[in-house]
Amino acid sequence: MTGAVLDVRIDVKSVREPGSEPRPILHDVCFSAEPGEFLALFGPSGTGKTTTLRIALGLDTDFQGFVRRPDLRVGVVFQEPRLLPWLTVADNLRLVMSDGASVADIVRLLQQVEVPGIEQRRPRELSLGMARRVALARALAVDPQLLVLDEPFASLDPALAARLAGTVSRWARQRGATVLLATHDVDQTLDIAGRVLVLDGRPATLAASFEVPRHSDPGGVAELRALLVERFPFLARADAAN
Amino acid sequence: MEFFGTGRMAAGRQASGHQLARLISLAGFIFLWWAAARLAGTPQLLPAPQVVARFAWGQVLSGAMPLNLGITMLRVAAAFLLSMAIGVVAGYIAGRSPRADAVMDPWLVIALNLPVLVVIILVYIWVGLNELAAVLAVAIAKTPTVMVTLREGARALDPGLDDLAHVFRIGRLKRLRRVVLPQLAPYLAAAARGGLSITWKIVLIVELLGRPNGVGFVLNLFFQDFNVAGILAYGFVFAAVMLLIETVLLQRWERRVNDWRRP
Repeated sequence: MTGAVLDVRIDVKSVREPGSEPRPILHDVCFSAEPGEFLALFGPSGTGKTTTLRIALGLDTDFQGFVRRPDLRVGVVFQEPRLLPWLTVADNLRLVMSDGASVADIVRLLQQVEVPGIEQRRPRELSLGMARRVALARALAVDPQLLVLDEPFASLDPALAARLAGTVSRWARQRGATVLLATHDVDQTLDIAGRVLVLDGRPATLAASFEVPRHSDPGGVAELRALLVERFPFLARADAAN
Repeated sequence: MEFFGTGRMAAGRQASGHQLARLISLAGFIFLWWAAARLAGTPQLLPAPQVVARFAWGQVLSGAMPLNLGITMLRVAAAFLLSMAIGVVAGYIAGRSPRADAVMDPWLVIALNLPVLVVIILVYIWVGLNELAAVLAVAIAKTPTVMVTLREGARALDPGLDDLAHVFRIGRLKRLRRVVLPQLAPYLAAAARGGLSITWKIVLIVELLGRPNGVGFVLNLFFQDFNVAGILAYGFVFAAVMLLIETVLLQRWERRVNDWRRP
């Protein structure tokens, strides 16, 4: 590993359903992320994006291969918000923050994700979209050096999703944080990512990896978009669904 | 199709209706008891409610009932706390670790199926007719059921929240207090409530078999004297005290820990 924040090599990842042989779902998925890099991971539904993220996070160690990463502060937004229903929003944030965190920090974080003034609410009083934003605030609350996002903007309206994606991108640039984002949304992602990885096939493998042209080169971004959609039609379908 | 909401006011009326039904049912029980006593005709066999109440009051005034009740309650408290402490820790470990569960399960099956009376007699033989044996016997008899309840609770812990705690490196104590215990609270409450209601019944047997004081001991004396009024007086008063503790303390605590579930 040469200064990489994350180095993942999944030779084989299998799942075993009761009463059947292990079935490989991922093979030959290798990638690394440099400090400050914004990596996006595309793939059809059920292809193993979440599993790849779980392996990268060290939550799933039942695979052949390795994950290397230095001792970092990690923030994560899971596919579902995973807020603790018995805690208020503020206490959900405090749970992951250091003891010195102030009310002002919590207020600022909630403003950042566009849900101000809900500190004392319980998760059941929030819509799914609000809960997702609180989960994003919680991930940012630890000032992570590695931020892992599993479809964090799903179920948000497109304009809000785009604003929040912009917020995350700016935040990561300012802090020099590395981001690993699993998503379906090509357009939104090409605006913020530095590199895209595509998982495809059964079992899934890393089918492609592209550098995203600088955003000052809109022609290059459009070309990449066209290329991605042509090679991976599921991206066009997912985009249309969004 | 047409239908109307019942609304909260209707729900409130329903709750007060249930209270009334409860009171009428209780009054019916006392009336039936009184009628049965009249039919029996012999106070030695079945004394009337007022006779039992008078006897109980006499025992209160003499100080015998508060003393024996107090001693029994101390034994209940000691055995309850011991069985909860061991059962909660062992149940949690068994629920979290399949290997630990595999080791503990056969012991648990044996303990659950061993008659309580056998446990009490054996502990008295091995430890002696003393206070430690009394508390130990009750705790041994009760711990397995606490353990089973907590094992279920630990198995039901949300693995998603474990992942969350792992990634965000939430410290052990904070994780236990903020993440694990709130999930276990309904199981702890169920174990505590079930535990208390069984513990005090077992304590009476322990006292009856080998202690020189306490409600169980007094009941044995009344049995030898064929004093049915005494048996009923102590039985009802003790049951009432335990029910009061369960209602006032445990149910309130249970409501508090489950408060976040209410809409």
